[in-house]
Amino acid sequence: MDFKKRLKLAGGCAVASAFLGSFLFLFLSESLRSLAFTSVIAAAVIFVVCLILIFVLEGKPSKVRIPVFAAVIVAGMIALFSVTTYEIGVRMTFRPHFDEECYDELSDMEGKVEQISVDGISGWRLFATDVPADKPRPVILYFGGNGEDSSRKIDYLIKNNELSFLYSDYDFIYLDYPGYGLTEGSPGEESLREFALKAYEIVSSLPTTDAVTVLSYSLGNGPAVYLASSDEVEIRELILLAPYNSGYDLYNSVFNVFYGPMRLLVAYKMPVYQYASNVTCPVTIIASSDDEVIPIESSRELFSAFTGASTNFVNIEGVLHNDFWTEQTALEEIEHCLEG
Amino acid sequence: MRTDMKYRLTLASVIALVPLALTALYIFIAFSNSIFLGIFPLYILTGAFVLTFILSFVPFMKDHMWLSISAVMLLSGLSGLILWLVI
Repeated sequence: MDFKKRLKLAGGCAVASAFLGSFLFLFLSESLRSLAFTSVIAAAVIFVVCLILIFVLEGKPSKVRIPVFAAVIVAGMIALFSVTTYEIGVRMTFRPHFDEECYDELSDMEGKVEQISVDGISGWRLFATDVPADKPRPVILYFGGNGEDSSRKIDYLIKNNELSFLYSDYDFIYLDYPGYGLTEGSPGEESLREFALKAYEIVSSLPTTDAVTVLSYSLGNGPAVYLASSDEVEIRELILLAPYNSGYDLYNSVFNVFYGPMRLLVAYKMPVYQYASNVTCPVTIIASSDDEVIPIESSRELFSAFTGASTNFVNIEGVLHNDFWTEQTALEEIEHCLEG
Repeated sequence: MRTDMKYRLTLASVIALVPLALTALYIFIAFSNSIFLGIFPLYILTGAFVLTFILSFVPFMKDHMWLSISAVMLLSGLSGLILWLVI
Protein backbone atom coordinates (compact mmCIF):
# COMPACT_ATOMS: atom_id res chain seq x y z
CA MET A 1 0.00 0.00 0.00
CA ASP A 2 1.54 3.34 -1.02
CA PHE A 3 1.59 6.47 1.12
CA LYS A 4 -1.15 8.27 -0.85
CA LYS A 5 -3.48 5.34 -0.47
CA ARG A 6 -2.81 5.18 3.26
CA LEU A 7 -3.70 8.89 3.63
CA LYS A 8 -6.89 8.43 1.60
CA LEU A 9 -7.90 5.44 3.68
CA ALA A 10 -7.23 7.23 6.96
CA GLY A 11 -9.13 10.33 5.74
CA GLY A 12 -12.18 8.34 4.66
CA CYS A 13 -12.19 6.35 7.87
CA ALA A 14 -11.84 9.55 9.93
CA VAL A 15 -14.86 11.25 8.30
CA ALA A 16 -16.96 8.10 8.69
CA SER A 17 -15.86 7.73 12.32
CA ALA A 18 -16.64 11.37 13.13
CA PHE A 19 -20.06 10.84 11.65
CA LEU A 20 -20.63 7.58 13.54
CA GLY A 21 -19.37 8.76 16.96
CA SER A 22 -21.11 12.14 16.84
CA PHE A 23 -24.42 10.91 15.52
CA LEU A 24 -24.52 8.01 17.94
CA PHE A 25 -24.34 10.61 20.72
CA LEU A 26 -26.96 12.84 19.06
CA PHE A 27 -29.37 9.93 18.51
CA LEU A 28 -28.98 8.83 22.12
CA SER A 29 -29.75 12.36 23.39
CA GLU A 30 -33.52 12.63 23.38
CA SER A 31 -33.68 16.40 22.82
CA LEU A 32 -31.34 16.24 19.80
CA ARG A 33 -32.63 13.03 18.20
CA SER A 34 -35.03 14.63 15.74
CA LEU A 35 -32.37 17.18 14.78
CA ALA A 36 -29.89 14.38 14.02
CA PHE A 37 -32.59 12.48 12.14
CA THR A 38 -33.35 15.53 9.96
CA SER A 39 -29.66 15.95 9.17
CA VAL A 40 -29.26 12.29 8.19
CA ILE A 41 -32.31 12.51 5.90
CA ALA A 42 -30.84 15.63 4.26
CA ALA A 43 -27.51 13.81 3.78
CA ALA A 44 -29.33 10.80 2.27
CA VAL A 45 -30.93 13.16 -0.26
CA ILE A 46 -27.47 14.57 -1.12
CA PHE A 47 -26.18 11.00 -1.54
CA VAL A 48 -28.96 10.09 -4.00
CA VAL A 49 -28.48 13.35 -5.95
CA CYS A 50 -24.75 12.62 -6.20
CA LEU A 51 -25.32 9.07 -7.36
CA ILE A 52 -27.67 10.28 -10.10
CA LEU A 53 -25.15 12.95 -11.14
CA ILE A 54 -22.37 10.37 -11.32
CA PHE A 55 -24.39 8.42 -13.86
CA VAL A 56 -25.48 11.54 -15.76
CA LEU A 57 -21.95 12.94 -15.94
CA GLU A 58 -20.34 9.68 -17.02
CA GLY A 59 -17.98 10.33 -19.90
CA LYS A 60 -17.99 14.09 -19.37
CA PRO A 61 -14.57 15.81 -18.96
CA SER A 62 -13.29 16.55 -15.45
CA LYS A 63 -13.64 20.33 -16.01
CA VAL A 64 -17.40 19.70 -16.07
CA ARG A 65 -17.60 16.99 -13.40
CA ILE A 66 -15.49 18.67 -10.69
CA PRO A 67 -17.42 22.02 -10.62
CA VAL A 68 -20.73 20.12 -10.58
CA PHE A 69 -19.68 17.97 -7.61
CA ALA A 70 -18.25 21.03 -5.84
CA ALA A 71 -21.60 22.79 -6.39
CA VAL A 72 -23.44 19.77 -4.95
CA ILE A 73 -21.24 19.81 -1.83
CA VAL A 74 -21.76 23.58 -1.36
CA ALA A 75 -25.52 23.29 -1.97
CA GLY A 76 -25.67 20.33 0.40
CA MET A 77 -23.82 22.24 3.09
CA ILE A 78 -26.12 25.25 2.67
CA ALA A 79 -29.19 22.98 2.88
CA LEU A 80 -27.90 21.18 5.96
CA PHE A 81 -26.82 24.45 7.59
CA SER A 82 -30.28 25.96 6.96
CA VAL A 83 -32.19 22.96 8.30
CA THR A 84 -29.90 22.68 11.31
CA THR A 85 -30.00 26.40 12.12
CA TYR A 86 -33.80 26.41 11.97
CA GLU A 87 -34.04 23.37 14.25
CA ILE A 88 -31.36 24.63 16.66
CA GLY A 89 -33.26 27.93 16.90
CA VAL A 90 -36.43 26.12 17.96
CA ARG A 91 -34.56 24.09 20.59
CA MET A 92 -32.74 27.11 21.98
CA THR A 93 -35.89 29.24 22.14
CA PHE A 94 -38.03 26.64 23.89
CA ARG A 95 -36.70 24.39 26.64
CA PRO A 96 -39.78 22.60 27.91
CA HIS A 97 -39.49 20.69 31.14
CA PHE A 98 -41.48 19.56 34.12
CA ASP A 99 -40.20 19.77 37.70
CA GLU A 100 -41.77 16.69 39.25
CA GLU A 101 -40.26 17.29 42.69
CA CYS A 102 -41.78 20.78 42.99
CA TYR A 103 -45.05 19.48 41.55
CA ASP A 104 -45.25 16.85 44.32
CA GLU A 105 -44.44 19.46 46.97
CA LEU A 106 -47.18 21.78 45.72
CA SER A 107 -49.66 18.91 45.57
CA ASP A 108 -49.32 18.62 49.36
CA MET A 109 -50.08 22.31 49.98
CA GLU A 110 -53.83 22.23 49.80
CA GLY A 111 -55.47 25.58 50.63
CA LYS A 112 -52.35 27.54 49.75
CA VAL A 113 -52.23 26.60 46.09
CA GLU A 114 -54.60 25.03 43.59
CA GLN A 115 -53.80 23.15 40.44
CA ILE A 116 -55.55 24.43 37.33
CA SER A 117 -56.22 22.04 34.48
CA VAL A 118 -58.56 23.20 31.74
CA ASP A 119 -58.68 22.10 28.07
CA GLY A 120 -55.20 20.61 28.15
CA ILE A 121 -53.68 23.70 29.82
CA SER A 122 -52.23 23.09 33.22
CA GLY A 123 -50.64 25.24 35.92
CA TRP A 124 -50.94 26.60 39.45
CA ARG A 125 -52.86 29.28 41.27
CA LEU A 126 -51.22 30.68 44.37
CA PHE A 127 -53.94 32.15 46.58
CA ALA A 128 -53.71 35.70 47.91
CA THR A 129 -52.68 35.46 51.57
CA ASP A 130 -54.38 38.69 52.77
CA VAL A 131 -57.76 38.19 51.10
CA PRO A 132 -60.46 35.79 52.35
CA ALA A 133 -60.84 32.80 50.04
CA ASP A 134 -64.36 33.67 48.82
CA LYS A 135 -63.78 37.41 48.24
CA PRO A 136 -63.00 38.86 44.82
CA ARG A 137 -59.36 39.83 44.30
CA PRO A 138 -57.10 40.94 41.46
CA VAL A 139 -55.02 38.32 39.69
CA ILE A 140 -51.47 38.38 38.36
CA LEU A 141 -51.31 36.26 35.23
CA TYR A 142 -47.67 35.36 34.74
CA PHE A 143 -45.96 34.46 31.46
CA GLY A 144 -42.58 32.96 32.27
CA GLY A 145 -39.25 32.60 30.54
CA ASN A 146 -38.20 29.71 28.33
CA GLY A 147 -36.49 27.87 31.17
CA GLU A 148 -39.30 28.18 33.70
CA ASP A 149 -42.22 25.96 34.54
CA SER A 150 -45.18 26.66 36.83
CA SER A 151 -44.38 24.11 39.55
CA ARG A 152 -40.83 25.32 40.09
CA LYS A 153 -41.82 29.00 39.93
CA ILE A 154 -44.71 28.77 42.39
CA ASP A 155 -42.58 26.67 44.73
CA TYR A 156 -39.85 29.33 44.50
CA LEU A 157 -42.30 32.14 45.29
CA ILE A 158 -43.57 30.30 48.38
CA LYS A 159 -40.08 29.58 49.67
CA ASN A 160 -38.78 33.15 49.25
CA ASN A 161 -40.40 35.61 51.62
CA GLU A 162 -39.14 38.66 49.76
CA LEU A 163 -41.45 37.67 46.90
CA SER A 164 -44.60 37.44 49.06
CA PHE A 165 -45.74 40.88 47.80
CA LEU A 166 -46.70 39.07 44.58
CA TYR A 167 -49.43 37.09 46.32
CA SER A 168 -50.45 39.11 49.37
CA ASP A 169 -53.32 40.99 47.71
CA TYR A 170 -53.26 39.17 44.38
CA ASP A 171 -53.80 35.59 43.27
CA PHE A 172 -50.68 34.63 41.32
CA ILE A 173 -51.47 32.33 38.41
CA TYR A 174 -48.87 30.65 36.23
CA LEU A 175 -50.10 28.36 33.47
CA ASP A 176 -47.54 26.31 31.57
CA TYR A 177 -46.91 26.89 27.87
CA PRO A 178 -47.76 24.06 25.44
CA GLY A 179 -45.23 21.27 25.97
CA TYR A 180 -44.15 22.65 29.36
CA GLY A 181 -45.20 21.09 32.67
CA LEU A 182 -48.37 19.09 32.17
CA THR A 183 -49.77 21.28 29.39
CA GLU A 184 -50.44 19.38 26.17
CA GLY A 185 -49.06 20.33 22.75
CA SER A 186 -45.71 21.62 21.60
CA PRO A 187 -44.26 25.12 21.96
CA GLY A 188 -44.13 27.42 18.96
CA GLU A 189 -45.01 30.95 17.92
CA GLU A 190 -48.60 30.20 16.93
CA SER A 191 -49.28 27.87 19.85
CA LEU A 192 -48.01 30.54 22.27
CA ARG A 193 -50.41 33.12 20.84
CA GLU A 194 -53.36 30.72 21.14
CA PHE A 195 -52.22 29.78 24.63
CA ALA A 196 -52.17 33.43 25.77
CA LEU A 197 -55.82 33.95 24.82
CA LYS A 198 -56.89 30.66 26.41
CA ALA A 199 -54.95 31.45 29.60
CA TYR A 200 -56.76 34.77 29.90
CA GLU A 201 -60.09 33.04 29.32
CA ILE A 202 -59.34 30.56 32.11
CA VAL A 203 -58.19 33.24 34.57
CA SER A 204 -61.00 35.71 33.86
CA SER A 205 -63.64 32.97 34.22
CA LEU A 206 -62.59 32.21 37.81
CA PRO A 207 -65.42 33.43 40.11
CA THR A 208 -63.10 35.44 42.40
CA THR A 209 -61.21 37.30 39.65
CA ASP A 210 -62.03 41.00 39.60
CA ALA A 211 -59.09 42.31 37.54
CA VAL A 212 -56.15 40.86 35.63
CA THR A 213 -52.62 42.24 35.71
CA VAL A 214 -50.22 40.60 33.28
CA LEU A 215 -46.63 40.09 34.38
CA SER A 216 -44.18 38.59 31.92
CA TYR A 217 -40.52 37.78 31.76
CA SER A 218 -38.21 37.18 28.82
CA LEU A 219 -39.82 34.77 26.31
CA GLY A 220 -43.22 35.34 27.95
CA ASN A 221 -43.28 38.97 26.80
CA GLY A 222 -44.29 37.95 23.28
CA PRO A 223 -47.54 36.16 24.21
CA ALA A 224 -48.19 38.71 27.00
CA VAL A 225 -48.13 41.72 24.65
CA TYR A 226 -50.11 39.75 22.06
CA LEU A 227 -52.77 39.10 24.70
CA ALA A 228 -52.87 42.73 25.79
CA SER A 229 -53.30 43.83 22.17
CA SER A 230 -56.47 41.78 21.75
CA ASP A 231 -59.77 43.72 21.63
CA GLU A 232 -61.52 41.00 23.59
CA VAL A 233 -59.53 41.30 26.80
CA GLU A 234 -59.45 43.80 29.63
CA ILE A 235 -56.13 44.08 31.38
CA ARG A 236 -55.45 46.40 34.29
CA GLU A 237 -51.71 46.69 33.76
CA LEU A 238 -48.93 45.12 31.76
CA ILE A 239 -45.55 44.68 33.46
CA LEU A 240 -42.79 43.47 31.14
CA LEU A 241 -39.47 42.21 32.49
CA ALA A 242 -36.62 42.08 29.98
CA PRO A 243 -38.88 42.32 26.91
CA TYR A 244 -37.75 41.95 23.30
CA ASN A 245 -38.89 43.81 20.21
CA SER A 246 -39.14 40.69 18.03
CA GLY A 247 -37.90 37.11 17.83
CA TYR A 248 -35.13 38.24 15.45
CA ASP A 249 -33.55 40.16 18.34
CA LEU A 250 -33.43 36.98 20.43
CA TYR A 251 -31.61 35.16 17.64
CA ASN A 252 -29.28 38.06 16.94
CA SER A 253 -28.31 38.28 20.60
CA VAL A 254 -26.90 34.74 20.27
CA PHE A 255 -25.44 35.05 16.78
CA ASN A 256 -25.70 38.42 15.07
CA VAL A 257 -26.29 37.28 11.48
CA PHE A 258 -30.06 37.12 11.11
CA TYR A 259 -30.60 39.87 8.55
CA GLY A 260 -31.87 39.79 4.97
CA PRO A 261 -32.43 36.25 3.65
CA MET A 262 -31.00 34.78 6.89
CA ARG A 263 -34.26 35.86 8.54
CA LEU A 264 -35.97 32.97 6.77
CA LEU A 265 -34.10 30.64 9.14
CA VAL A 266 -35.69 32.22 12.22
CA ALA A 267 -38.36 29.87 13.57
CA TYR A 268 -39.64 32.20 16.30
CA LYS A 269 -40.32 35.56 14.65
CA MET A 270 -42.86 36.92 17.16
CA PRO A 271 -43.26 40.56 16.02
CA VAL A 272 -44.02 41.99 19.48
CA TYR A 273 -43.69 45.60 18.22
CA GLN A 274 -46.65 45.03 15.89
CA TYR A 275 -48.89 43.99 18.77
CA ALA A 276 -47.62 46.81 20.99
CA SER A 277 -49.31 49.52 18.93
CA ASN A 278 -52.74 48.04 19.77
CA VAL A 279 -52.18 47.96 23.53
CA THR A 280 -54.18 50.55 25.50
CA CYS A 281 -53.62 49.53 29.14
CA PRO A 282 -50.76 51.06 31.19
CA VAL A 283 -47.41 49.44 30.43
CA THR A 284 -44.24 49.28 32.52
CA ILE A 285 -41.04 47.95 31.01
CA ILE A 286 -38.27 46.88 33.39
CA ALA A 287 -35.05 46.17 31.52
CA SER A 288 -31.38 46.06 32.36
CA SER A 289 -28.53 47.64 30.45
CA ASP A 290 -26.44 44.67 31.64
CA ASP A 291 -28.86 42.02 30.31
CA GLU A 292 -26.64 39.71 28.26
CA VAL A 293 -29.52 37.83 26.57
CA ILE A 294 -31.95 40.57 25.58
CA PRO A 295 -30.13 43.81 24.74
CA ILE A 296 -31.69 46.89 26.29
CA GLU A 297 -31.86 48.47 22.79
CA SER A 298 -34.43 45.81 21.88
CA SER A 299 -36.51 46.69 24.97
CA ARG A 300 -36.23 50.40 24.13
CA GLU A 301 -37.43 49.78 20.57
CA LEU A 302 -40.43 47.94 21.95
CA PHE A 303 -41.05 50.80 24.38
CA SER A 304 -41.34 53.23 21.48
CA ALA A 305 -43.83 50.91 19.75
CA PHE A 306 -46.44 51.35 22.51
CA THR A 307 -48.05 54.36 20.87
CA GLY A 308 -51.55 53.99 22.34
CA ALA A 309 -50.74 53.38 26.01
CA SER A 310 -49.23 55.23 28.93
CA THR A 311 -45.78 53.75 29.28
CA ASN A 312 -42.98 53.75 31.78
CA PHE A 313 -39.45 52.51 31.14
CA VAL A 314 -37.20 51.52 34.02
CA ASN A 315 -33.55 50.66 33.50
CA ILE A 316 -32.10 48.64 36.36
CA GLU A 317 -28.36 48.63 35.87
CA GLY A 318 -26.14 45.75 36.89
CA VAL A 319 -28.81 43.04 36.63
CA LEU A 320 -28.08 40.04 34.43
CA HIS A 321 -30.85 38.28 32.51
CA ASN A 322 -31.25 35.39 34.94
CA ASP A 323 -31.10 37.65 38.00
CA PHE A 324 -34.39 39.49 37.55
CA TRP A 325 -36.02 37.27 40.18
CA THR A 326 -33.19 37.46 42.68
CA GLU A 327 -31.83 41.02 42.50
CA GLN A 328 -33.41 43.34 45.06
CA THR A 329 -33.50 46.34 42.69
CA ALA A 330 -35.56 44.36 40.16
CA LEU A 331 -37.96 43.05 42.81
CA GLU A 332 -38.43 46.54 44.26
CA GLU A 333 -39.40 47.86 40.84
CA ILE A 334 -41.96 45.08 40.34
CA GLU A 335 -43.42 45.77 43.80
CA HIS A 336 -43.51 49.49 43.07
CA CYS A 337 -45.47 48.81 39.84
CA LEU A 338 -48.00 46.62 41.63
CA GLU A 339 -48.50 49.22 44.35
CA GLY A 340 -48.75 52.10 41.91
CA MET B 1 -13.42 8.44 -14.99
CA ARG B 2 -13.86 5.09 -13.26
CA THR B 3 -17.27 3.63 -13.85
CA ASP B 4 -17.41 0.71 -11.38
CA MET B 5 -20.23 0.72 -8.83
CA LYS B 6 -17.89 0.66 -5.82
CA TYR B 7 -16.27 3.91 -6.97
CA ARG B 8 -19.65 5.56 -7.61
CA LEU B 9 -20.95 4.64 -4.16
CA THR B 10 -17.73 5.77 -2.45
CA LEU B 11 -17.76 9.13 -4.21
CA ALA B 12 -21.44 9.78 -3.43
CA SER B 13 -20.90 8.71 0.21
CA VAL B 14 -17.94 11.01 0.71
CA ILE B 15 -19.80 13.98 -0.83
CA ALA B 16 -22.77 13.31 1.48
CA LEU B 17 -20.68 12.56 4.58
CA VAL B 18 -18.55 15.71 4.50
CA PRO B 19 -21.51 18.12 5.01
CA LEU B 20 -22.99 15.70 7.53
CA ALA B 21 -19.80 15.55 9.60
CA LEU B 22 -19.65 19.38 9.52
CA THR B 23 -23.30 19.51 10.59
CA ALA B 24 -22.48 17.28 13.56
CA LEU B 25 -19.73 19.73 14.52
CA TYR B 26 -22.18 22.64 14.16
CA ILE B 27 -24.77 20.95 16.40
CA PHE B 28 -22.17 20.13 19.03
CA ILE B 29 -20.83 23.69 19.10
CA ALA B 30 -24.36 25.14 19.29
CA PHE B 31 -25.46 22.97 22.20
CA SER B 32 -22.28 22.64 24.22
CA ASN B 33 -21.46 24.84 27.15
CA SER B 34 -17.74 24.51 26.61
CA ILE B 35 -15.67 24.68 23.46
CA PHE B 36 -13.80 21.51 24.53
CA LEU B 37 -16.97 19.47 24.30
CA GLY B 38 -18.22 21.49 21.31
CA ILE B 39 -15.43 20.21 19.08
CA PHE B 40 -16.01 16.56 20.03
CA PRO B 41 -16.44 15.49 16.36
CA LEU B 42 -13.00 16.97 15.63
CA TYR B 43 -11.43 14.78 18.32
CA ILE B 44 -12.88 11.69 16.67
CA LEU B 45 -11.91 12.91 13.22
CA THR B 46 -8.29 13.47 14.26
CA GLY B 47 -8.10 10.35 16.42
CA ALA B 48 -9.56 8.09 13.74
CA PHE B 49 -7.26 9.55 11.07
CA VAL B 50 -4.11 9.03 13.14
CA LEU B 51 -5.14 5.55 14.31
CA THR B 52 -6.05 4.29 10.83
CA PHE B 53 -2.86 5.73 9.39
CA ILE B 54 -0.73 4.04 12.07
CA LEU B 55 -2.58 0.74 11.69
CA SER B 56 -1.83 0.76 7.96
CA PHE B 57 1.84 0.23 8.88
CA VAL B 58 1.22 -2.61 11.32
CA PRO B 59 2.22 -5.89 9.58
CA PHE B 60 -0.89 -7.95 10.29
CA MET B 61 -3.33 -5.04 10.03
CA LYS B 62 -2.08 -3.72 6.69
CA ASP B 63 -3.11 -7.03 5.12
CA HIS B 64 -6.51 -6.87 6.80
CA MET B 65 -7.48 -3.23 6.45
CA TRP B 66 -11.17 -3.91 6.95
CA LEU B 67 -10.28 -5.16 10.42
CA SER B 68 -8.51 -1.85 11.13
CA ILE B 69 -11.43 0.18 9.78
CA SER B 70 -13.92 -1.84 11.84
CA ALA B 71 -11.82 -1.38 14.98
CA VAL B 72 -11.57 2.39 14.47
CA MET B 73 -15.30 2.69 13.76
CA LEU B 74 -16.06 0.64 16.87
CA LEU B 75 -13.87 2.92 18.98
CA SER B 76 -15.62 5.99 17.53
CA GLY B 77 -19.02 4.54 18.32
CA LEU B 78 -17.86 3.73 21.84
CA SER B 79 -16.59 7.27 22.38
CA GLY B 80 -20.02 8.65 21.38
CA LEU B 81 -21.68 6.20 23.77
CA ILE B 82 -19.28 7.08 26.62
CA LEU B 83 -19.86 10.81 26.06
CA TRP B 84 -23.61 10.26 26.28
CA LEU B 85 -23.23 8.20 29.46
CA VAL B 86 -20.95 10.81 31.07
CA ILE B 87 -23.21 13.76 30.21
